[in-house]
Amino acid sequence: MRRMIRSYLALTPFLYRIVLFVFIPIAIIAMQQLFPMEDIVLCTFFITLIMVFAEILMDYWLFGGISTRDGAKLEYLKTSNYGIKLMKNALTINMVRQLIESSVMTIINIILFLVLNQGESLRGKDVLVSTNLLLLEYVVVVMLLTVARFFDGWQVNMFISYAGVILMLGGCYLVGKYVIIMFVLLVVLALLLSALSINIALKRVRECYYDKAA
Amino acid sequence: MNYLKILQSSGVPIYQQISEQFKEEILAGKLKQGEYLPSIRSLAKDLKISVITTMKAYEQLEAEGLVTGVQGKGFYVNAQDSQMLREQHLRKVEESLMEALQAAKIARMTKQEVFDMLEALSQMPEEKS
Amino acid sequence: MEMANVIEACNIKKKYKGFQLDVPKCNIPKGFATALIGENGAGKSTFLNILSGIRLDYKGEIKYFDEQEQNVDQVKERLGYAGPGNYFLPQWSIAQIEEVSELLFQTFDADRYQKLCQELGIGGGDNRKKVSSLSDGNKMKLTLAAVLSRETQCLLLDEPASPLDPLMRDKLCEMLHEYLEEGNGERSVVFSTHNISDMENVTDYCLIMEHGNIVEEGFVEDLKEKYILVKGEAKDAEAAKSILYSFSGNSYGFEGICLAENVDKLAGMDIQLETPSLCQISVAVMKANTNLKFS
Repeated sequence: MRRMIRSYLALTPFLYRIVLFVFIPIAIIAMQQLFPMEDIVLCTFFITLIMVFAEILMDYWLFGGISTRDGAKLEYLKTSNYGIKLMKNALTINMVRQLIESSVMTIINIILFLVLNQGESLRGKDVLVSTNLLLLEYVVVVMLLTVARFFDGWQVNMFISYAGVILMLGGCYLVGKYVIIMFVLLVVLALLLSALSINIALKRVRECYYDKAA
Repeated sequence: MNYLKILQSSGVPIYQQISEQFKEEILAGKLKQGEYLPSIRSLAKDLKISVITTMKAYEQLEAEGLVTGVQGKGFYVNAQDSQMLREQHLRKVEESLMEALQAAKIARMTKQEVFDMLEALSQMPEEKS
Repeated sequence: MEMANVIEACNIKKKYKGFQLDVPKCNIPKGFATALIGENGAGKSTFLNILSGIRLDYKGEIKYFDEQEQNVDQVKERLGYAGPGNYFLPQWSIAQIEEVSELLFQTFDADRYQKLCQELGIGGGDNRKKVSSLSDGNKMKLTLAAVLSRETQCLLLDEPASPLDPLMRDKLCEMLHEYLEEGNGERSVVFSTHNISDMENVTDYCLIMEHGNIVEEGFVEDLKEKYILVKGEAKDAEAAKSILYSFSGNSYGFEGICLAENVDKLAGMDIQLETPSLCQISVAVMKANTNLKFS
């Protein structure tokens, strides 16, 4: 596990960490406080929406274009037996990190909401819908990143992040309406997509050892 | 060995320059019997020449019986018995004289003239080389 | 002295559109520096990629370190490949490469890496600098620093000299000499180069490639005996042309490389013989085998 986290950290530049772990969370929570919303679910939706945007854009910094055919970029990793494993570890940790980061922000937000709005209480449905939104965010991000990594260019990530926002807007309606069904569906999707995403990325990396011709 | 001189464009192959200089040192007794020559790779590094060149130089010394190569350890100086040493020097004198005689032939010098010249030369104070 | 081989390649074949790498047999001597020389597109990089195990779609067999193990994965820790272009991910920083390398290679020595970065003046002491912001020369230096910070037994370097300035080329030769010396016969270097004269003082063995084939190989000292540089007068040019291996002439005289075995045929001409440099030999061999037409 330590080695897995080290693999992830080794691939993340210092500035990336600052932006992702300090700047974005603080900015989101601050914005929530500046424009207080009346509803927990609405707050969570706001967080997940922004995070979809942020995650897809930030990913270009880390894994931008790793699934393109231009495998020459990964030459150094290819010279080591641990290269593909390092990639796999980093991709896995990144997905876990993504889920945890959004969750933690949501929890902080809910606590702040409850503290600042005395008298409000946490309803079961709010928690469930928030969880659904987090899962939805995860699924959308994982799915779109798998596609985005096939292209090298931040404009592509930008474009795809818009698609993510649209998916979120459509998804949030379903998530609120069919709470239980969507929860089960999203958990299954999250697990499937995680495995698929890593496998696709690694398959492409492995293919760098070969040429398409011949 | 604390002095080695390589001329890059002298026309004489570099390996030959090296082996000649080692040969002189050995024949002069400056490199003692049993002493190891610098390893081929460290000599190559110091002289900034390729490993194969120093190796060829050492192999030539080995072929002349001046050193012996030991796999994995390097080359050490053989015992130079005085008889052999003398022979080496005699051969050198012979070679030089042959050369001189050929030149004399071209210059149509008589035998006596050559002897006289040799006599005169040996009277001269020894030149520092 | 008996020669051991660090790499023995057998029947290596690799096809591209309009190009085929075909190396029936190639032995690279252990304990020496081997230069891979040839025109652009002769197949040097492809060959090095295959040897270093970062390109796996080829036919043939490669044996490393004279051992039974046939899988390149088992020897990758001991091979040090360095190539031009996008060797590292462009967004990595100098410091990050250190972290990544520590994970990738068991023998990576972070202190040595830092020392080398400093010694070679990469990034001007700023370890946050990204690979994408470095010049080609500095990228190559960084690549070399990473690969030389490990305990390897065979370096495979693709065009290490090309992006470097003359001072750094000298330093590169020095580092390769040091690498070989420290290995005391156990370490070998293979590099491809266009800068033959700059690298000549660290070239022991030489492979000359043309259109995916090895057209000449041998120890440099042997090649220098096999080929002789001939210079002569213009009046003999026509007669000499048919005997010489490579020929270039003008109104003042001619110059060419002659196979040592054919030198006798030049008897009677007013010629001068010289030992050619590796560069002169290589150019002659390449000219004799190239598809390009010289006027």
